[in-house]
Amino acid sequence: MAPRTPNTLASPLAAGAALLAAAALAGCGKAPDLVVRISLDQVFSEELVREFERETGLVVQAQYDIEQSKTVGHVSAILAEHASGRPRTDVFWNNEIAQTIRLAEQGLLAAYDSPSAAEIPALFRDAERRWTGFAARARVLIANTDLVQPDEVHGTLDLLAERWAGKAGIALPLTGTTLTHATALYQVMGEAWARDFFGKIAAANAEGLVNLPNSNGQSMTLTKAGELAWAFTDTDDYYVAEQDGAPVARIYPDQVEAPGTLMKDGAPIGTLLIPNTIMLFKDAPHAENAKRFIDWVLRPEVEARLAASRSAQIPVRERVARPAHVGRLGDFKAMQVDYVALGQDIAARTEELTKLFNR
Amino acid sequence: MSRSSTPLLCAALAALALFGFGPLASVVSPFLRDAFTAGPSMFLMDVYDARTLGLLSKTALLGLSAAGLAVLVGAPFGFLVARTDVPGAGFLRAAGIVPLILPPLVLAMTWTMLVPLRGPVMTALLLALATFPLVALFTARAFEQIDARREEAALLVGGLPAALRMELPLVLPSVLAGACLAFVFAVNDFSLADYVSSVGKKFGVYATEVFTASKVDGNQGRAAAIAAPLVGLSLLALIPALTLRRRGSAVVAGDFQRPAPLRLGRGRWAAFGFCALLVTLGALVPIARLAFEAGGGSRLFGSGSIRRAAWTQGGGAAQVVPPPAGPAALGAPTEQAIVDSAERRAAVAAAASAAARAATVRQLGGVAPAAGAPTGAAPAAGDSGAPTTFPKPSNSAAVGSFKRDSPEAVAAAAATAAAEAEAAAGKPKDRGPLGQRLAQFGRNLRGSFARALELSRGSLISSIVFGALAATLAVPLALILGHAAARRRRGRLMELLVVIPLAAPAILFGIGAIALWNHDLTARIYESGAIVVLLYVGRFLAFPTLALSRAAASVDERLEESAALAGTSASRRLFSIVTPALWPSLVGAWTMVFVLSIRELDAAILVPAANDTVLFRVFNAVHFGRDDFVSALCLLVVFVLLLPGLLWSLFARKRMEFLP
Repeated sequence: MAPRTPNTLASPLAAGAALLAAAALAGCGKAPDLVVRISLDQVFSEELVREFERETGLVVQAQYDIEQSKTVGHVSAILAEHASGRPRTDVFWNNEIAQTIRLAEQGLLAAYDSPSAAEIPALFRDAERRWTGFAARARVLIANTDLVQPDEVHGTLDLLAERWAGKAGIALPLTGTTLTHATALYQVMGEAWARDFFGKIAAANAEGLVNLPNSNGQSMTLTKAGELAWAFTDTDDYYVAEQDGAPVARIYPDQVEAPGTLMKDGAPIGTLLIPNTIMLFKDAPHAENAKRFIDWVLRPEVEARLAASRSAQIPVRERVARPAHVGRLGDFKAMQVDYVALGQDIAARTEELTKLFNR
Repeated sequence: MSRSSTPLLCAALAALALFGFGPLASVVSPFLRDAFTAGPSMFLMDVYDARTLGLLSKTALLGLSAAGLAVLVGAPFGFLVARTDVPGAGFLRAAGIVPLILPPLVLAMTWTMLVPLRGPVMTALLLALATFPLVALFTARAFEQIDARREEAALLVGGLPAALRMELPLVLPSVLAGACLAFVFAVNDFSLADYVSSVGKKFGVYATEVFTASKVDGNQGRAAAIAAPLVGLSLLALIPALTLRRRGSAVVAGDFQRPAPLRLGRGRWAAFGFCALLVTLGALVPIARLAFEAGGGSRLFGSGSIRRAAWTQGGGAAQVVPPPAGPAALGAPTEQAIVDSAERRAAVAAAASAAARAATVRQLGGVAPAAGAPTGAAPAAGDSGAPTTFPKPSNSAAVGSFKRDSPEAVAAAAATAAAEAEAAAGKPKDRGPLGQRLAQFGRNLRGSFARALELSRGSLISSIVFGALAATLAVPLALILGHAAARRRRGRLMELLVVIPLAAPAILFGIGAIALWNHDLTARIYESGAIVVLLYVGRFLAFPTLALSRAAASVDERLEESAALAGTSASRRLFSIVTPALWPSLVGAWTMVFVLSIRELDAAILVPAANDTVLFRVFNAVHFGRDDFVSALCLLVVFVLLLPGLLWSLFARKRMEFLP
């Protein structure tokens, strides 16, 4: 017979571990009625999701992203879910459009003509109704007014101007809206021009003449703190700095003929407009609830809420109310891009730009 | 030879295979399939080119520099706090671990604000600052394992220099083991390099390549292929680390005599200065900076950014930049393109002020504190041209307080909102007397913590629960694996196996976890927090296994052999004889998994249930520049990370053992 040892810790240790493991494996909480991935920043979208839950009584499992991975992180996860043969995501609320087109091209999206989207202009709706655009952001320049006057900077080519050497920046164009912006420049200005331009940006960065922050958020933070005089960012990031009381000004780039303005066929190219997009997945496990969510998000009231929030998204429907500072689509010249072609092009551009900038 | 229980070991190995290797297999199989389809040489030529190989060598050089610097400061630090009479050795030793616990991004955020240095040099310096505790911990342990009698003999022969000459070869393997781990840490981190080179020349590292590749067009085979050299580089450092750590951790004999502290004489204060400087640079400055920001110090006392001061020296950019040749000079319209930000800031200030007043009214039970309060309605332009009142004020603090009824949070939000309103109205330049500013700082600090707790309590609890569950699940597995690694003939192979999941890039591990668990049979796991716990266990099992393997090796094997002869089962021997002797290591192993789990972001970020963890919130909040809130939240995270160690030091007599 085995002797009884004085300190038998086996039982409590093993029992405790088993109990906790069982608790972990069993999972906790009610199963969701709807699984949504959202790349619009959590601080803006979370409250809306909660409100939808309160109104409908549905339990939403919302997956947000972080600044570093942005939309492409969601897309990777969605593709991984589909590759494993068990799609879990019902709806993707993307804060840009290029990756949406990629998903549509891969045949992952279902057609859904939401009644809430009736007034949304055709430019922002897929002809096959696989996605719908709303609440747009614009690419803008944020300028620190302690360091530079707003009328001193005009557009894209100012990045390479000698007078701004070391004082201006654009986020590394490998993720997010900066990647979309870069891809749009390839489309609008032509491949040769864009290659030359980004080659010059990379070379200027190697000499410390152009700064490449790791995100638009950081471009804003650096400009707000005075480490940069001005930088490219998105309107939502700009408003965060402004509402924090920072000495900043917003400049729509490439609007008027001026030394730093990028011109195409004798006219400024305008600023890139990037709408949010929302889409329903084929084989969505909760398709009916997903449609309810899409209908809810596409209501004019939600677009107005997004306009009034700190992100100050620009409503794409003319009649939607908005604070005065948000402006309207006609307030500035928008870059004319083919969003579908842009979405088809973005993977190849990511690879090309990675090779150029990650050295 | 005392063997561990085979059924238990098989179960633990099965868990390692499932949780650790399962996700890796899910991403490696597409890699092998693609390589087979395209032909191995074509595939490899496509994936690896001169640029990627250049990046790899640059990353290796960065890792070597960081590890070298870590040895340069970590080894003396470890020796001084463990073996000498340096004042405050106990505190310095404990505080010296903090830089390792702090997320590297916090170090980067702090030091880039204070020092204008950028690029590879700054990256290497910060990585060394983050990793020197690894070298210091290994060094300290090795020095403590030298028998007093041996040291006394050396001291008698030639004093301190002779003792050090005798001891250095004995501690060198441990120092190098720490350096190898520092190298692995440095080559796998990309957030720090990325952040540090946000201004000035971009400094690319291989981990960035892996991160980007894993997100382009969902081609996981290619991503795995790109990651392979980094995994190889990490294993190249981990394998010697495993060997060196075995050499450096001699089994302490039963008649071992702990050596007395070496007397440094007048040099003890210089030694104190050196140790205190390291602790200050790596722990106190970042924490102080977080506290400064949490109290709104940037608004009250200035940002303290040395870089900006240098940049604007001599009158700022306005003097450096030539006179404007603006659109007005060219006859172009400016009004549409450039909006009057001063006007808008005034509107924002009014909204913030209204939010603060509303919060105060709520606190006072509906009694307005003063007449003439603004309405809080943001100016709007609808079709009718009539102003539209939006349901919420734009001020974040007040939004938080409206949603929750905690009086402390409401009061704090009101104070913070008032400060924000003042700042927005341009008042920071006239900041008032120091006493008032300090009082305001105190109020802001309380307000920030109240907001951080109110807005992130759920995330904080989620992180703690996930971390605690992962640690509690990992430790019994690690005990079985570690004991087997210490006692069995192929123990080293087992140690090598267990570190492989750790060497894989985190984001690929996360994608692999989705592929592994997202099936009908495992739907409950995938859709619940269980996947997060299992992901943490699989990824971090190496640390507790190695720590417990070392600890188990120090238990006299004869005890187990005697029990075996008496007929005690292997599992009973493990849990009744070995385990009681390992409490400090068991707690240390638990703490290590807990800390690593709470710090984890890259792997877990892709799985649904990890959405509500506190580090996720921190990263999102950092993006929006909410300095007060996010800094307070960072401090809360640091406190949670330090809590197990603090509790142990308060209630236990023995030192917690957590080193591999």
